[in-house]
Formats: sequence, C-alpha cells, structure tokens
Amino acid sequence: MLNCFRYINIYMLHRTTLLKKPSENIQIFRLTSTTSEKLPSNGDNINIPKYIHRSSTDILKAISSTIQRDPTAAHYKYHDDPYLIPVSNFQKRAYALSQESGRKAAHWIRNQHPDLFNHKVAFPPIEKFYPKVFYDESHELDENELKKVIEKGVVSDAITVYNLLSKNGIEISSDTQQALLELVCFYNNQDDIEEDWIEERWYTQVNKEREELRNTWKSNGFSNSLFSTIKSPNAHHYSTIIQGMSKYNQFEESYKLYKEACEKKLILSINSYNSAIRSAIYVKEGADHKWLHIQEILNQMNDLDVPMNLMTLNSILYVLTTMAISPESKKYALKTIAEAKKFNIEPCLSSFYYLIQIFCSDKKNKSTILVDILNLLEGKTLNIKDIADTNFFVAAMENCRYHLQNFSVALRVHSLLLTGNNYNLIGNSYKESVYYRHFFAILCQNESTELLMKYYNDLVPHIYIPEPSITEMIVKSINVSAAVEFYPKLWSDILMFDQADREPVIVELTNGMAQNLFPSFEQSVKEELGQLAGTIYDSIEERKETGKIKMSWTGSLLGNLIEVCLFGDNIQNATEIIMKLKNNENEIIGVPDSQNITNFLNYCINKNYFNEILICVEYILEVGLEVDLDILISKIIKSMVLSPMQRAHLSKLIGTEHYVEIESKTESVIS
Amino acid sequence: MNHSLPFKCVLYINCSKRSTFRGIYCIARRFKSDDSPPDDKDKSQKNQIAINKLNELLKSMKKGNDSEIIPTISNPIKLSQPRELARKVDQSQENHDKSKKNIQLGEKLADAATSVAQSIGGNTEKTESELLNLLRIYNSEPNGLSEKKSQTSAQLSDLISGMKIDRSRPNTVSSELGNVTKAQRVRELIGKDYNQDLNKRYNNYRKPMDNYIPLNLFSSEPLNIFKNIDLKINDLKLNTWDGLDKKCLEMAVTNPPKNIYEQMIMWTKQGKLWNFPIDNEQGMDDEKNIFFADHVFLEPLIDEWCPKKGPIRHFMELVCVGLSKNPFLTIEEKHDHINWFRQYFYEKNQLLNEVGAFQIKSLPENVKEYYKPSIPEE
Amino acid sequence: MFADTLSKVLPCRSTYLIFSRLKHVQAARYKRSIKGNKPLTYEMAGPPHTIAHIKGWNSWNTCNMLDGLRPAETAIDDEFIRRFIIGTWHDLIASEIIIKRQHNIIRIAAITVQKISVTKMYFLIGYTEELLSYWLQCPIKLELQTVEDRSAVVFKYI
Repeated sequence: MLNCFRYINIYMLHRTTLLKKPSENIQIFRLTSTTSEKLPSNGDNINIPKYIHRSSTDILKAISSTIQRDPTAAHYKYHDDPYLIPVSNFQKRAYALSQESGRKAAHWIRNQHPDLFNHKVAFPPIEKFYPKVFYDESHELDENELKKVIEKGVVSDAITVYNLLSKNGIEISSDTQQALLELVCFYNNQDDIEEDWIEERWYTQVNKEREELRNTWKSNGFSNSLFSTIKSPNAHHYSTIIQGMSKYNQFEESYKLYKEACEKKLILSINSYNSAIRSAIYVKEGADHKWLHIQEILNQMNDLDVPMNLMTLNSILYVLTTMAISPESKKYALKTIAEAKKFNIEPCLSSFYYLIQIFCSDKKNKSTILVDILNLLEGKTLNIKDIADTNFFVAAMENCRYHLQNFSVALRVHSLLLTGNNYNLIGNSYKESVYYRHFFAILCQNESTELLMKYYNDLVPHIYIPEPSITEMIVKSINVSAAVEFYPKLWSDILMFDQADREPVIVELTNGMAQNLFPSFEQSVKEELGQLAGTIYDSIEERKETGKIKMSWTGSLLGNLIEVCLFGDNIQNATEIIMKLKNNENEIIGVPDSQNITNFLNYCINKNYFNEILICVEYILEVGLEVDLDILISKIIKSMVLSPMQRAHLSKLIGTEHYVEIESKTESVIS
Repeated sequence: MNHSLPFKCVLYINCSKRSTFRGIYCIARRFKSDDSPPDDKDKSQKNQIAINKLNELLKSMKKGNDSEIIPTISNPIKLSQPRELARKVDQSQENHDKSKKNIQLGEKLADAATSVAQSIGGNTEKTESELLNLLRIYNSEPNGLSEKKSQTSAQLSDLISGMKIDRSRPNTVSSELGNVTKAQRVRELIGKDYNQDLNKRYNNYRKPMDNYIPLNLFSSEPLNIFKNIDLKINDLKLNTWDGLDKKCLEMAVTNPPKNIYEQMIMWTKQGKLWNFPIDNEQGMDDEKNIFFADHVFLEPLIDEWCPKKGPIRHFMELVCVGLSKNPFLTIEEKHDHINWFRQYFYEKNQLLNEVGAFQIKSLPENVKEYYKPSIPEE
Repeated sequence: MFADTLSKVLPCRSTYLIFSRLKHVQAARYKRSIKGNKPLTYEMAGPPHTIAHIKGWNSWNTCNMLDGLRPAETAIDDEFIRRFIIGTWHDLIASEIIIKRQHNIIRIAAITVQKISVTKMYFLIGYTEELLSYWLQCPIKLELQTVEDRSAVVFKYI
C-alpha cells in the first residue's frame, strides 16, 4: 500500500516537472527508475514469462474454440436468411454445390482470360489470386520450373513441362525424375480435385467409395512409360511404382514388381512392403495362405532390417478383415498389435476400425471390443494418421446399433466425436448422415421419447435430416410412449423434409395417433390433435392435387384420420374425409374400419348433425360396410328430432319399408 | 426361465417387451408428475385415473401387437402348443401364489411392473398384481385376426427386429431374399431356431453388454517376427510421396468451415489472408535482417569518395539525411541512390577540375546497369 | 438570409467555415416528386448530416483517416464493386451496397429480392465472391439478406 502511494506521488511529481523544465526531467526519471528497481525486493521477484511463439492461426483457433454450435442455425456455409436456409438433404447439397459451381465459373473466367488478371494490387503478393500459368513451347523452361510444378502437385502441368523439356533435349537430374515419378504415381496420372473445392469433396466421395476395391490404375499411363524409360531402376523407383499401383488396387502387377525387386536384392521403402502385404487379398486365397503371405513378407522385412510402421499394422489388420470368418484372425490381430507395440506404434483409428470388423463379424458370440477401444480413446483429441481413419466413427456407431444394441456405448462414441477437433474425422456428408442414422435408430429402439426428442431438437434439421426409415422409427417410438405432444412438430418436419409421400410413415403416424386417444387428455390437447389430423388430410390432399405426391389413400388411413378428427371435435374435416370416401370410392384402397364409421355416426347423432349422417349412411350403403345400420337408425330416431323432410331423406336412403319397420320397432320399445 | 411357459407368451415378451416397458414407463411417469399435491384423497383418486389410463394403454397396445404374432400362428406345422391350451394353463396358474406368477411372466416383466407400481405410488402391491394380471390376460387372449393388412406389413419388420435376427448387413440380406415375400421370410427365420431350447433362445436375446468382459488390446503375445527393434534401420524415404500423402490426409479432415474464424484459418493456410498477429512488415522479407542503423546512418557511404568539405559535401550530406528519413526505400535502393550521385559527379569530373573543386577518383564496383552513366568521350 | 446577417455581426472571415451546414444543403438529398410517390429506403431517407446519428456509412474503411493508405484507389474499388454487383445481380439488389473493409477482407452487404431460385442465388454468391477476390486480390465475403418484394425496403415516399 505504502509503495503504491509513493509511486503515485512520484508520478505526480514527474508530471509536474515535465511541464516545468526539461533539465529537471532527467533527474526525476532517474529517481523513478531507482525506486522502481527497489520495489520488487520488498515483495516477490518478477518473473518475465518466456516469449511463446504463436503461429498465424493460433489466435484464430483460440477464438474459434469459444464459439459453440447454435442448434437453431444452419451451417455456416449457408447464408443466414430464411429464404436461403436449406431444409432438406437435397437442398443442402444443391445449395452448397451451387455456390461452389459459381466459384468455379469465376475460376473458369480467370483461366480463359489470364491476361486481364495480371495486375498486382496486393502486397504482399498473394499467389492464389493470380491466374494459372499455362505451359507451352513459347516458354523457356528448365529443370527448376519442373521442380516448382512438382512442388505444387499439379500432375497435368508436370507432365507437360516434362514433355517439353525432353523435346528440347534438356537433361533432367535423377532426383527430379524420381520426384516426378512419385507425383504421377500418387495421383494415378490425373489431376486431383483442387483443394479449393471443399464442397465437391464433401459431397462426391460417395462414388469414390464404390471404386474402393476396383482396379483403377491407368496401366498405359504416363507413370508406366516413365518407369519403363528408366534403364536400371533402383529401390526408389521400384518403391514408388509399387506403392502407386497398390494405391489404385493394381495388386497383381505391383506384386510382380515386388518379386522382381526382391530378386534384385533391393531394400524397398516400408510402404512398399505394406503394399505387398495388402496384395495378399488378391494374390492369395484362403485364410491360411493369406496369413502365410503376411508372415513371409514380415520375415523379409526383418531380414533386411526394415522396421514396421503404423501402416504395416493397418495393412495386416486390413488383410485380416477379409478373413475374419477364420477363428484365428482375432488372435492374429491382437498379436500384430502387440508386435507393433514393441516398435512403440500406437494403433490409430483405422486400426480400431479394422479391429471392430475382425471381432464383430461373428453374430453369435458378440464381442464387446468397442468398449475396450473406447476405454483407450475416451477424452483424447485424435489426429488423422491414415486415410481410412474417417471410417471409424460410422463403423463404431453401426456396431452400437446392430451388434451391441446399447445406447450408453453409442453415447460414449458420440461424446468422443465431439471431443476437441474429432468431428473433422467424420469424413464427409454421406458418412455423417449414415452415422446419425445409426445414432437415431439406437435412440428410437432403446431410449425414452424425451431423450429422443432432446437429440432430435438438437440435431434435426441442420446437422441431420432423418431418412424416411428413421422418421418411421421416431414415429413408432412416439406412438409407443403416447407422447402426443410431439405429433405436430413431427408432422411439420415430415412435410418439410418432403416425406409426406412415404406411405409407411403416414400409416404409422395415423395409426399411432388413432391409438393414443385417451379421453383423459385436456381439451386443448384434444383440439390440437383434431386440428392436426385435419391438417394432415388437407396437406396430403393438396400435394396430391398438384402431383407432388403419388401415394393413394387407403380406407384404414382415412378411418384413422376420422377417428382423430372426431376426438378433437374437428367435424368439418371429418365430414370432408367422409365425402372423399364417398366420392372417390374407386381410388381408395379398402374401406375404413367399421368402428370408425360407427363412431362418426354416433358423434353426429349426439351433436345433431343431420346432413353429415345422411352422407355417411349413403356411403355405408354404397360400400356395404359391416355396420349394424338398424341399430344406428333406431338411435337416430330415438335421440334426434327429425323434420318430415329429414325423415323423408332418411327413409329414401334405406328404403321406405325398412325404415318404417325400424321406426315402429323403436317406438314400441320406447312406449 | 420357466420351461412350461407357453411359446406364444415368450414370443410376445420378446417381440414387444421393450416397447411395452417403455410405454408403461412413460405413461407412469407422465401421470406421476401430475399427482404432486400430498393430499391423500386426491392422490388415491389420481391413482385410480392412472390405472384406468394404464388399462387403456395396455388395450391399445395389444391391438398394435396382435399382428406381430400372426405369422407364427399361420404356421400350423411348427406350432406344437394350441392357443386355447396355453390360455388354460395360464388361468389355472393364476390361482397360485404371486411369486409364481411373476416367474411365469418372466423376471424382467415382473421387475418392470414392480417399478411402475412403485413410481405410481399408493398401494404398490395391488397395482403390481393388477398390472401383471392384465399383461397375462393380454398375452393369452385369442388374437383378433381383423388387423388391417397395411399394418401387418409395417409391423412384420418389428417382428424381425424383435427376433434379433442380425441385420448388420441389410444389403446382402435383401439381395438374397429379394424375390421372397416378407411373410415367407419371416416364417423361415422363425423356423430356423424354433426347435432350439426356449431357454437357450432367451439367452440369445440378452444384450451382449450384459456380459461384458474387459479385454486388454495389448495383452497378447507378440508375433516375435522382428528381432532387432532398435538396431540399424533401413528406411527408404520417398519425399515427394510422403509430402503428398500428408497433404492428402490434411484434406481428408478439411471440412467446410463452421464459422468465420475457421474460414479465416483456411484463408490463412491458403495464403489469402494477412497473418495474425497483425504485422505491418509482413512480406517484406528482404528487409527482415537489416539493422535500422544501416537505414539511418548513411554517411560512411560518402566518406570514401566525397570531398571533406565544400558544396558537394554539403549537398551529399543533405541527400543522406533525406534518405535516412525515408521509410519507403529498401537499403539497396538507398545505396543505389547515393551511387547515382557518385556517378553523376564522376561524369562531371572535368568541369569540377576546371572550377578547381575536388576530383572524384574512382567509380564504385558492381554498379548496376541503370546507374551507369555515359561518360562523355574526350 | 440569417447567415448573411450573422456574418456581419460576428467578427469572422468566412461564413463557409461556420455555417457549412447551411450551404450545399441539396447534396445527397432526394428531390420530392410531384405526386409524392417516390420510394426511399431507410438509407436514402436520411440526409448526409444524419450519418453516424441515425444511419451509418456505405463504405467502412480507414483509408481517409490521417496517414491512411490508398484513399483514391479504395474509392475507385468501391465504385467498381458496386457496379459489378448491380450488374451481376441484375435487378435483384433492393438496397444500398455496404462495403466493409477489415484486415484484408472485404465484406459486402446488401438486400436482394427473392426473384430467382435459391440455387441460382447461391451460384451468384459463389461467383461474385470468387471473381471479386481475383480482381481485388483479397478474400471477399458476401452478406446478403433477402426480401420478398422491393416494397419491403421502402421507408417512406416523398
């Protein structure tokens, strides 16, 4: 405290003297500095922290981590405007890709007119905004240019430059040639999707997966010809071409080359050995042969003092997945992991992905290996180490759904996904939606509706839009627990996701509604349900008229709707449906439950709606429903006061004689 | 499990026990939250309402579940125990003590009933026994076959999932059985393990998590193929390949940015955005390693050729002062600037001599082409 | 009138300096139409002296501050952006185009009319952002809002 005052005094002194004379100024400065030096000795020593080097993205990452997801907002890539927010899977895809194609259009214009974009405004210059350089014969090229192009990783340019160079007779050093071979082998002689087109990658990998097991190696491509021009290929060349071929599933050729290299006693790269291990799937048949093949290659590696790496582990596990039926495979898998442990290799997500496949292929003896894996991974921020890592979360969730059938494990998987930046490992939009499909299926099967709806409100529609089959499961789950308050929300969502034409969903929904009508509900709930049934009828009808929906009505469906309408005193829509039944008899499959129709009549009798009764009776007679009409008519006569006109109508409908008969019977009973 | 338990009952429990429990549970919870006032009279009344509601629910559920059993009944060869008999057995056992009843319905169902009864409150025992009775009646009542066709087809899938037929590969299953009708498929699936002991089958329905045995992934004996782990390592590096591989992995986890900051991170990585923290000298790499004194103190440059005094000296000093204050030129440009004057005065040597001023003897080395003056021929 | 008399009373040399608000009062004000049916947006309705009181600037940057860099170029760039967007989003822009510069990012805000399909709108967003960023060589971000009809942005009629 005292120090503090002294400080302030000196500061004041300092201020005043500063204004007075410059010569005194210096003295005071000295004074302050000496006192301030003394200050720390009274208390603790001041420790100046070491400078921490921050990369240019660190501060952005820190700020970004403070932003939490807003479940009511669409993804950031969509504009935050009601008109521009997508509400179905189709729209999500269409909007994101439209934006990207707009960007591509701009890109195309720049490439068509590179001369217009050569101005330099930005300092420091930003390479990304400059037009692409086109290589032709007019350029003066040398090896450095080729090196630069390889560095950028543009395959087509690299091939062009190489061809131009060889045309001009310029010699290329063996290092550059090797680098070029690696480049073309890695990309299989074609350009990859440019890194700018994120959306395209996010949405198009669905096709890629189908190609996963097909041989897509271009056997007459540039890489093969480049390899053949090399007179005496060394270990580098062999390794590159073997890795390239097996990357695109040309295993037979790559295994042949591997044998060739072995005969020449070359020591290849670790990944070439891994490729050779993978080739077991294609080259060998039967679990025993495959395992022998793996062992043989591992022994070769050991003889040549080539260590194992993570990819070796994954390759072995990958081969084991294809022989998972063999009881030995589980044992081998664990042994391999233990062997890798000797090299301090920690299994990565794709190793676990393969492990799940190996252990859970047996349906009878269910394995709980996923729990053990989760015990290892829980709370960790994971990094991608293998391209197959992105399969893990989908596989884990699928395992929870079909194999373990356990929600708490699924929840653990989910919380692992939400830890740190792990969400990036979800892969792409397709995998993401499959993941959530499984997640919701488990929720529907195992958990209370309250919990289900909690997740539903959080994730739908901006993260995940349920497929019709999942919608059906959600409806079922609500039906079972009689959570009628969720019906309106669910119906509006069904409409929004364009699933109103899915018959099973609608059937399930209306059945559920009709079964969950308890007289003890509050009046407001009843009315809401009645209104909802009317809305369901109206909106489907409207869509049918405009041709959006091709579903045809069924009698039971309409019967259920009538039931719910009546429950909520929505007589208007109920009558409309009866009219529909009557007028479009031929288009409607089946007839409603006779109980529904009887209920309708009873309701009308109670409320004294004569016209509705007429329509209904007419319908009953036309279709020949199994309704005890006589009792109903007698009820009408008993409890309603009919005008002569109304009596005439009624008697005309059911036949005058018959009517008189019933009338007399009823009267006799009354008297 | 009791062996004498009628087949249908087991099936029923297995098919729909989950949904039944959930239904009861949810309803019970709903109604429980209603009777918060501690008034006893009120409570008992509410309990009565709750029980009524439960009855309704159970009835309605029965309606929904009936159709699930249809396929089994329509399979006359397999059904060894007639329905009526099952009912009789049930009813005769109803008279026995309560504990036996509980066993009969399966322990889980009994447990569920107990918990429901407890959550409702009031006379727990009574509620429980009522619940169990109801369930039993619904189990044994003959089925109304008047179910709608559409409903049947929708709920057949329930049956299949209830039977715990593994569906982890739905694609292959459907392709195999694509031509067979659903009903046929169900019959086949039921037929498969019908002859197995019922008890054993019930065990199969138990979830795998019930008997979880921890497994240490690293506990196994290694392969022992690799002998020398730390010794000389032959590792051939393919630099370009590895670089591309790394890039490829990075791209695999680059998803569309989730907020503006992530987008800015992306822009920074692409080199589009100025870097943070803000640096006004970003991109001025040529000047990074130059000390400020080199920019400010330029006199040493003129010392070697300039006269010690006189107008030229005076002029050149002014040039130095001007340059030292200029923040826009690089050090090289400043040097070039001074050299230009040196050249200029060198050109004017003749004139300077004539006036009697100082003579400049030498030209600097490595003069750039641009600054090379054309020396007039003499 | 008032200004003239005041200048005689007060010992100052120029009325221009003191009463600048009274001179050039027609600049950036919209002329009243005869029928009084000329629609104005909120931004148009406020005369220039209300900037920073009831409305903001249309261009946000620091170029015109003391020691600001490239003021002229910025003005030209802004005009280019405005013309480019009005041309690209033909007959779709219903408001002023607000240009905000931060760091080396340019954020462009506007209100558009929902006259074309959403996919087309997203195409244009992508196209505009990318092409402008090639031209101005900095990241561009569009911030759009949509209205159903032009009348939604009308603040008053004069």
